[in-house]
Amino acid sequence: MSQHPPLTGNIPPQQKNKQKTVVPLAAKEKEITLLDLLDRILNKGVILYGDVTLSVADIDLVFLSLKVLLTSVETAEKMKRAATVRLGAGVGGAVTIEAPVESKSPPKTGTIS
Amino acid sequence: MAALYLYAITDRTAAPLPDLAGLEDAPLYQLACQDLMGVMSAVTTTQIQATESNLWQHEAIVEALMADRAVLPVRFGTVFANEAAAQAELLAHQADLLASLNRVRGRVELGLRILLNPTKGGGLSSDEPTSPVASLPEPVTNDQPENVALKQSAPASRGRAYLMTRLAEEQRARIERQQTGAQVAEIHMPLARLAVDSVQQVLVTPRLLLTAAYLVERNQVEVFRQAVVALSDAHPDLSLLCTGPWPPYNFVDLHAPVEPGG
Repeated sequence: MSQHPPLTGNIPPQQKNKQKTVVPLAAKEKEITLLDLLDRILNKGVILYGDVTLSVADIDLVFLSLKVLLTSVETAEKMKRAATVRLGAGVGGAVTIEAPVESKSPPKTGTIS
Repeated sequence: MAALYLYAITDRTAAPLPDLAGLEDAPLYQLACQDLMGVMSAVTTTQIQATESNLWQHEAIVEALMADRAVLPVRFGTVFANEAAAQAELLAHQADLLASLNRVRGRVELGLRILLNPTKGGGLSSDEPTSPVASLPEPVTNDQPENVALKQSAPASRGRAYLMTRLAEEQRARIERQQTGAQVAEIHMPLARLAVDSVQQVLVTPRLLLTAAYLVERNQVEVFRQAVVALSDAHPDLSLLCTGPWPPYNFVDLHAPVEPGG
């Protein structure tokens, strides 16, 4: 069965997070795998324009702000472009992205830059 | 309001869906669309939160599907008003989606990051005397006595000094990128040969020398992994981090709209 452990380095295998109980990971491993997931699931894959726009404002900025900068500045920029392009798909008002990625607390309006 | 959340696009297949719940604990179901299938679930909220839990739940579904069929992972947060809307969108891109499915069938994605180890001396960004950048004009710094005179000089001189500094910085950055490119090529090239396709990005940050993804035949995953281990041993000044197998996020050709370099 496919797994998400880092395949190299002396990092022990990670148990997939699809069952009710999850084996606790070392913080570093969890960060690394989450970064890889974010880079893919938020930015890549098939991109279709549905009828309901994902509210970028609701993304958990606490972890995004710390991690996006480390691994993918381009992801943040693409998300910014994607969010501005998807205006008008049923969500009233503009979703603007302006806070610096170093910010550690989610801005009230849920913006990132 | 009930809407439909899309996790992945697969071939038409009789294989049963994985025994997993969708978001909001809703059951998964398949929406047939000519030669394609969308794996979906009903959602009641328009505010799909990209929390860690939701992201992993979405990912777990896609990976479970990947175990026994070709899968195109769909970006998180794709929701349609109803079945007709979803089918219309899938039909509109059917040819591209089928081509993408054929491209990834039997293959998985492996990710690689190459990081410069911080414990090593200076790394690329330090001003070591043996570095090639020593041959470039020294940037004007506050330590140099000449600069004192410059600071007191006319604005034109200060402007020129600034431009010279910027020029030196640009040249140094370009050399760093070239050095990095050569260094990561030693690692990337042999791995790319083991893969069907690859994408890469060099020097995303000063320490992150390479971010890459490789489309690898399932039966080549172990060979690939061992190659990474061997390369890691051969480059003790670097950290190689290989993750996967992932669904082929980086090898889906369809983007709407078309993004340059996407």
